[in-house]
Amino acid sequence: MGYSRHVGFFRLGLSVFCCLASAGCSAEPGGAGASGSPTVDPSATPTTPPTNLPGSGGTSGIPTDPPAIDGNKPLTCDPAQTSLGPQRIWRLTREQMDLTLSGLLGTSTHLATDRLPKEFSTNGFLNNSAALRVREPEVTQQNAIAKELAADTVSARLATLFPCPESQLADATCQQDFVKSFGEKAFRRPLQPEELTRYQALFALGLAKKDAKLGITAVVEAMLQSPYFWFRTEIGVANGAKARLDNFELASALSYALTNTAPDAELQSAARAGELTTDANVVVQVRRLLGSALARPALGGFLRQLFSYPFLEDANKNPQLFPNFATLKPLMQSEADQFFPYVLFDDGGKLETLLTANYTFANSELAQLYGVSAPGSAFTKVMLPANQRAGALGLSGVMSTLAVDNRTSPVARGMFIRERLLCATIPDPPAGVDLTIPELPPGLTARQQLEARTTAPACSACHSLMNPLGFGLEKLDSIGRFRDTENSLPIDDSGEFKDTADLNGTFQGAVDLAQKLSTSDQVRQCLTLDTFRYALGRAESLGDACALTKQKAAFAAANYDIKELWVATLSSEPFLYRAVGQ
Amino acid sequence: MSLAIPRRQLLRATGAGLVALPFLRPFKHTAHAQAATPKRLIVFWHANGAVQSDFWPTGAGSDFTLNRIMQPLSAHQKDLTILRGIVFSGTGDHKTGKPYSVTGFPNEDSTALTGSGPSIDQEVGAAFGSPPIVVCGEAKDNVRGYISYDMNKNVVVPQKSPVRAYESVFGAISPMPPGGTPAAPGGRDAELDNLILDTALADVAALRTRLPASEQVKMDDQARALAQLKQNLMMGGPGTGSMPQIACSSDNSAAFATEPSDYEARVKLHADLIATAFACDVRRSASLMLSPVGHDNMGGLGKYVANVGGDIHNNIAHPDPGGVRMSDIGVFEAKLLNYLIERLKSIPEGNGTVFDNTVILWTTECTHGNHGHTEIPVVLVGSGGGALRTGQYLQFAQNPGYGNVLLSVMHALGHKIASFGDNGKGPLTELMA
Repeated sequence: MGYSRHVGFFRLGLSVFCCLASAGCSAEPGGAGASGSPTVDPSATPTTPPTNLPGSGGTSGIPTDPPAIDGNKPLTCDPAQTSLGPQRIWRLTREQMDLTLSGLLGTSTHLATDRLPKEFSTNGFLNNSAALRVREPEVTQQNAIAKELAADTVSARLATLFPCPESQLADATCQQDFVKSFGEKAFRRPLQPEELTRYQALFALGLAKKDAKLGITAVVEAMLQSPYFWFRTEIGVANGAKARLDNFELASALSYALTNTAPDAELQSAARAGELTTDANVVVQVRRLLGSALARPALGGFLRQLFSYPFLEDANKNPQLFPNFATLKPLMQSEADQFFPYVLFDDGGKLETLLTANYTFANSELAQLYGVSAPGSAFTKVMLPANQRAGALGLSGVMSTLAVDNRTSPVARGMFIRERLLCATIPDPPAGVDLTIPELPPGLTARQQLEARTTAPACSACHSLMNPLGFGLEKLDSIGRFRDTENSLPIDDSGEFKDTADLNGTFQGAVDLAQKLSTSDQVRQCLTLDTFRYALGRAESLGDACALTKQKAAFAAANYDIKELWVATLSSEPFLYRAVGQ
Repeated sequence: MSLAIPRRQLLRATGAGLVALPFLRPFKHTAHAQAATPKRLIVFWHANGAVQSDFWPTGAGSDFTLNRIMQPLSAHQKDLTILRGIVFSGTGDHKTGKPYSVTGFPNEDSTALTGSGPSIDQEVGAAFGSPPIVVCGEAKDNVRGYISYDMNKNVVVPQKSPVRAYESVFGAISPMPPGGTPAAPGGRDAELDNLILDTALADVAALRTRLPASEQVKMDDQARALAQLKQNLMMGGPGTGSMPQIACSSDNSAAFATEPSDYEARVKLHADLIATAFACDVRRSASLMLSPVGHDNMGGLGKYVANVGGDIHNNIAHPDPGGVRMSDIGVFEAKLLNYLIERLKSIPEGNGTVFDNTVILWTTECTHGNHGHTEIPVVLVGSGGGALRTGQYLQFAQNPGYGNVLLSVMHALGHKIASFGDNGKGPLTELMA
């Protein structure tokens, strides 16, 4: 047994055959890893991004992006080690693609989310720049999306595209203006002369074949399939070995980071005026965007991903044991949509609040899961019963994801805490051990089974770092309901932190666990790293340590307001500059 | 709900009833693909081995009686070659058996997601000049559980949606009336379509020059994919010359318009897609995976098999590898294979059917659900145009070498390479007609 646990997921990215190829560490009772998108191992050694042959028929060779900093050690800045990330291009996620298409074409579309392949999870996030590629499945789908949206926009909303009244479709100046104005919107920067020539030639062919509308259609289709639409460039303006993102690149970088879509008019005009050349003006725009309505789902989305919500979609439960899970699942998603933005923007945005909030958001149906009541089908803020759970780690969606189909998974929960909240690793055990599964009597608690199965030294080397963290959440069942007993036996939810920077010691239950995490410096440092990984779409390198030290200091100075951590990250050297020609 | 495509709707033989706008697309001929009748491969793959006592037939040679699990295939007994005595290299668990079952090498770097060789579906696809259709019935992703390895040995993530897979295979194909002038789908203009993609490709080339080498690979990806799309669009276009042997009509697309609602319907629609693509001769290789290794709950298999649900691998295969539930799962899987065979047999080709020119390799990664690497259940279905001797139950006293089995299949298909995997040196005489 034990294979799937590592083949799967709960390593929200890790070396897969770790404890499992090892002796009698028979995965988890009841199995594991049911849910989840593919994950990529951050502990792996870097691999050269593979090349693949034309049309290999699927997505192959997913690059990994291992983090460099061990969460168990305090950040240290050695200026001599400082380095910048390379110049790069960064593909839009499906969500960003949909919001961008919607804004560009004056409609509301979900075609990208519906049809493009799901993103791979790298270090827990779906927006890793190395993993986001445009390959055969993406190109085929985008071709269909482009055709569909171009036809729809030309027929229903021509004014969105064409800068002159429809009566002037034949006007040559208007036609040229269309290529120029739509091009700047689609590529989020003015077109270069050779690009204008290229797209005007395309327009001309459509015009010659039929009419101006066909020319417009062709240009829209081509631009939506261009790499300048798919990707944002971060090439910058070279000044020696260092290149600061140019004004348009920076406008897009800030906009996608904070709103998941193309720059608004104000940001784009700031770029056109060259205002983003100064760090002070960057901070002004960051603060302005943080106040926009779009920042709520965008930064809420960061916390959703951090807390594994993308994996909830694929979580299934045994219908005999959890008959209403299918109904609850979308409600759990809505809960997260409300909880995370509320913590960030309406309740002070503190890390401590995120981890210890004594409330959640529910409608009447979901409220029952928490043992409280709420009126009707609309979501409202509800206060949670005392001493059962706290903060994000108590959310039903998180507990459902970090569990298997018929029971809890202390391993998955412990691994999540260790990897995502502590940024610590789990060492690999020796390989090549006996896979025999110990026979156990029925009727034990999950904790008793897991303890019995992982006592062998080859197992406990890994599992002692995970299981005792997960045990603290054992009173929250496989869908997050509070319980006191399992198989009529009382649940022991005492736990222990081992091998951490500042948390070592025992704790009792979910609330104590959350409170200890909420004031830990290791957790604060880890959130600094998580924010960096998400905001920059890459794992940190040792060369980023000085910048990270500054970001963490800014976080501390703001009493651990997560929004201020974002301000510091988005105005940092690693965000604004690239190393030339690496 | 039956998602089978009505046969008359699916295709018509060349010259017979080719009236209204059929989709025509000649296969991209290569040195290997010159044969008058195309030959094809399907890897049909399931996880967790088989209940040994219910899998192997009684009898021997051409005189054998199918056991419980293969009962659903009884109508096709004369098309089966059942191979007992195959030993997989490796440690006899899921993780080494998975790559071994398709590449003939037991190694996979589960971090880099690479194997030690290409899988047979990719090898055959590359030999025939067209990528294989790579699909999986289980909808959840599990990148460490997949069985197709491209020519650079990288794991290929299968398409789970038959609707999306259909679009990839057929979406960009231009209809061309026999002997007529090509036109792009939907009345589109082929020259304009071409320039649209060329314009995007020009942007790709321009952007590539501004990037460091580490990022150029992203542009190489996109360039390759756009070029492939362009090739698809232009296939059947000016200059391709030869007429295809087989015509297939465009109106089967309706069957692929809606995402199937459950597991069984999804697997069957994948089978329909493979049959259609073979019939239209747009692809000649495919792998259809029922579920990845690992968290194989098969999308609620409990609907089809009594007392089954949740994570089959951990909850059933390991603790109860010889039990009736695993046996029932095996029967269900054989029924799905039967559906695929029936689909291929329903499509006329030449004097027979598409099935006659196809070989299905039915394989798995372990002996049974609790590991093991001897007596791996391996069955070949179909003769590949008469090249394989079928209707036999072969019991090897000594390991015949799985690489030799894979080589036998490839030789039968006309891809006569000298070696494959860690022990493939040549075709097995017992298998070849």
